[in-house]
Amino acid sequence: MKQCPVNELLSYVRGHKCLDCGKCVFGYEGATQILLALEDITAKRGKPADLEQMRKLAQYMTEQSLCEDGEELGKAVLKALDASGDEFALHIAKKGCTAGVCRAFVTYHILMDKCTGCGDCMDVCEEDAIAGKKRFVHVINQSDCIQCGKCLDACEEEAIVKAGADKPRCPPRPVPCKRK
Amino acid sequence: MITLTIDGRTVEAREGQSVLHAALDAGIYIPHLCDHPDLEAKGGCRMCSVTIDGAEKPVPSCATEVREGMVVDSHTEAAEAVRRTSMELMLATHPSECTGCPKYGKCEMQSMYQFMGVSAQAWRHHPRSVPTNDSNPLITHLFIRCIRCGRCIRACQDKRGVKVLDYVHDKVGIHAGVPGGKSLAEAGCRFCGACIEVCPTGSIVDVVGRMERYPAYADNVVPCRAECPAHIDIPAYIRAVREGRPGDAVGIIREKVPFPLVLGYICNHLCETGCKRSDINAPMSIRNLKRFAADNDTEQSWKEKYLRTAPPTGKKVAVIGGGPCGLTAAYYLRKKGHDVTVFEKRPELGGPMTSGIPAYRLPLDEVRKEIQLILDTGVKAEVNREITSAAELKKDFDAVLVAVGVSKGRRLPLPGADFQQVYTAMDVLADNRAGKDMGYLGKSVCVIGGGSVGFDVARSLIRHGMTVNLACLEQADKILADAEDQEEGAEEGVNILPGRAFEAIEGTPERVAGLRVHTVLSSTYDKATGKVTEVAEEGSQTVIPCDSVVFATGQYTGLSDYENFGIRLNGRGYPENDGFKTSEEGIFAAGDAITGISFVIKGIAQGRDAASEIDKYLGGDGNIDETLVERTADPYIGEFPGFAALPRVEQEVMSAESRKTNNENVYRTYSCEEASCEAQRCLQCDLRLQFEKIKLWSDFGGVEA
Ligand SMILES: Cc1cc2nc3c(=O)[nH]c(=O)nc-3n(C[C@H](O)[C@H](O)[C@H](O)COP(=O)(O)OP(=O)(O)OC[C@H]3O[C@@H](n4cnc5c(N)ncnc54)[C@H](O)[C@@H]3O)c2cc1C
Ligand code: SF4
Ligand code: SF4
Ligand code: SF4
Ligand code: SF4
Ligand code: SF4
Ligand code: FES
Repeated sequence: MKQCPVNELLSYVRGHKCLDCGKCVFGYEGATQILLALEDITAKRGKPADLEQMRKLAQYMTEQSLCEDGEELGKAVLKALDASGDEFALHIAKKGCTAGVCRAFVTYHILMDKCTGCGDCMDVCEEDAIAGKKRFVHVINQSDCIQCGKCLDACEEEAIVKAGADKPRCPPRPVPCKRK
Repeated sequence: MITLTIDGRTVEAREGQSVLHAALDAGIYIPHLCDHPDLEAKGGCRMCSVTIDGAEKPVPSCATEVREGMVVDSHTEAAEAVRRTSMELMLATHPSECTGCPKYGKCEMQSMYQFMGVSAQAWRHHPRSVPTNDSNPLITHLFIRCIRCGRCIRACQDKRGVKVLDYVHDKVGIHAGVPGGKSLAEAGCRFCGACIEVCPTGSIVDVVGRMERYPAYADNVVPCRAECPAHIDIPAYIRAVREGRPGDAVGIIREKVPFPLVLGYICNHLCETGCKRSDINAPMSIRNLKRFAADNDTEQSWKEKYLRTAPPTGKKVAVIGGGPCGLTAAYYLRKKGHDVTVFEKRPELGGPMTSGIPAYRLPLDEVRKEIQLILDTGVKAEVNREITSAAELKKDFDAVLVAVGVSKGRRLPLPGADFQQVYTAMDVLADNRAGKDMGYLGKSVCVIGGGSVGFDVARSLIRHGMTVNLACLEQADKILADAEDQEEGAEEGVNILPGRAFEAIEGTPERVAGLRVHTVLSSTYDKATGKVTEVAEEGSQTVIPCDSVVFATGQYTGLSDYENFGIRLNGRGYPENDGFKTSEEGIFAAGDAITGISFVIKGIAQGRDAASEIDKYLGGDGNIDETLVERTADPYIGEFPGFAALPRVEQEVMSAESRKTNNENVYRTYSCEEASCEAQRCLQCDLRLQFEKIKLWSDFGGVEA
């Protein structure tokens, strides 16, 4: 499994001591703001100003926290931003999550050359997000799909895939199956 | 002394002082939030950031000690940026509106962010919605407003040693609070209010309405002292009792009143109605502690100062009436160096203290000792001297105080009210107090009137072995005397007849046969006209047989009985007055003589205020305040599990059987143990006032943002 640096940082902040302490503003409120920003970014709600603001805040945290824990958290943020700035930018621009980890960026697709048109996926989709009929390649309507992943498990042909930033080419509406 | 430069000014500071406090002491404002002058600095908020010796990284000035030659700048871009960011971050998780907050307008946080002109717009708004907790007595917790500065925690843990508050972690985050979801009482809170006092936000506050009862802040904090008409320093004397210093307690009381012992026995204790402990379980027994102190004051350590008087002023003051008001005024005027003479119509000074209130409530010897101390200051007294004209007297004195009380008993205008065996309570009680043979009343007596005076008569006569009926117009649940009087009187054998209207006294002018009454089902009193309308029970007329009747139906000044007392009286016979000034220059009036029947403590308070007024009239400064006992109060009150539940200690009551046969006090004074138990219950509300008041930027005047 590939790792997403944005999601990794989010998990790290979420479990950080500062959020259990509260004794200083830059440690506790700093961690809180970083957490809120990362939650937004991974949920496709990031704002263009977030990167710069996180960097500034993290710098303050390294300098103005009451103990090493807050400093360490600031440093971890700065390090992640330095190492994976592009990936953060990609998320913020709502273009996608390269690793396909951040749920909000993940999409499900049915591959044209693998689908046999059996309809099993349609049966399990509770959102009625899949269109198709017997012997036609089924198609997921992205605006209805909630990324629950049930269709992926239901398809015995392994015709359904998750995608991050790079999406496979799929027909816009059902077409007759090529595969028998 | 250490010399350093702060914001371009040369500043002197104490060794070990923080840079922040060196600045504040020098009148230089540096914002600060988690720091409190009475608590150890932690450095968590960074509002106080400054740059030192041009270093790049700002440091918290509250947690930085002064050093010789240090150069401090609180306005560098870096320091300001840290400060603003910190404030923005705090605001980002704070409720976005100040309107509706109990601290609105008095809040350090609000004052500061307005001063700095910052807002949290740039950040994600994320209030941590902790529900308001108003289930505790006296203290409301609104931790949605907590900024985690830790001041309350440090106050509770380090300053008070009670250790109730700490950082608490719940679903929405961290805030100050009581760990384990306990109530304050369960956690051992001592309700000292330190947490409220130091909280810079609206997060820990007094319950709604608590701080709006009096105009002065200190009065709201210490309501017992505010309620006491003479403003006795109650928490201080309770502390002295607790610490085993009854003499100091008496000294503290004597700073405000010359009758600690009398008050300890019979004060109506308004203070207790104000006591904050009422909100927890029951008020402090403030009066009984006063009695304990007075009863156990063997060393009289205050005496020397108490008797000390100012050099003679050459001014002469006459006081008409030797009751609590007149004697109090005489004492304080004498202390101010005036030559004071008290004129009393009775054979003894004291008013009802020596001629009314019966011995089973107030021992005579003790009252006399308190009066003697007043005379020891050089106050002169002429007893058996009834003054019939204040104006006449004024000719020989620079000032005259009319403190004649309401010493004449009133009779209802009933047929037979002038019969020989019909008396007023004032006369009967005076004879009783003087130890006269009460045989002239016969064996069976009817007392008319259900106030405390009526009960004083009834209960006194029971002690002379008489049969006593006490009848009053009020229905049983509206009887004027307090519940104790009614209960104890009934126990002793007083036959209480409420809801009776009086028709006539039966018999002949030489021989009373009985009191004719009927039962009323309800009655209403119209204050404006003074008229009583009653609904009588049909066929309820009866005659209560008796040998004599005593009217306990009110008193009046008696001044209108004199041909010309020399000052203007109103329609009810009270001196017209403006403050304490009467219609005549140099003649003052105070006490029951202007207020109508009230209480000893009110008379004393009036005597004090009148003395101050008269001193000013005579060219003095009017200041009668004095410290007889130096105060110390240890703020570290420590842990005390179960503190909230400590029950009020009551004085032991003698059995009704033994009470009936003697004149001894009905209550036994506290033992030392009981007194210290009771004294321990005090919340020491005054400790809260030891905290230094935080100065806001506006207190520094003219600092630029
Ligand atoms: C029976 C009784 C029981 C009471 N019980 C309590 C109690 O339990 N607790 C409590 O707090 N209060 C009690 N009070 C009320 C309290 O005693 C009075 O409110 C208080 O004494 C008022 O003080 P004063 O000095 O203004 O007047 P007073 O105490 O009435 O003093 C006035 C004095 O002036 C004298 N005098 C009057 N006319 C003249 C004159 N022309 N020339 C010279 N002297 C004159 C009177 O003899 C009297 O000594 C009681 C009162 C009475 C009558
Ligand atoms: S930096 Fe330290 S003191 Fe501040 S919140 Fe984090 S752990 Fe607590
Ligand atoms: S605590 Fe202060 S800053 Fe917060 S809402 Fe109340 S007044 Fe405003
Ligand atoms: S003991 Fe005092 S400081 Fe502590 S919680 Fe109670 S009232 Fe507040
Ligand atoms: S309750 Fe008040 S004093 Fe206590 S930490 Fe919160 S803001 Fe500070
Ligand atoms: S608890 Fe003590 S200090 Fe507080 S109001 Fe009562 S008597 Fe006064
Ligand atoms: S006041 Fe100095 S760090 Fe809070």
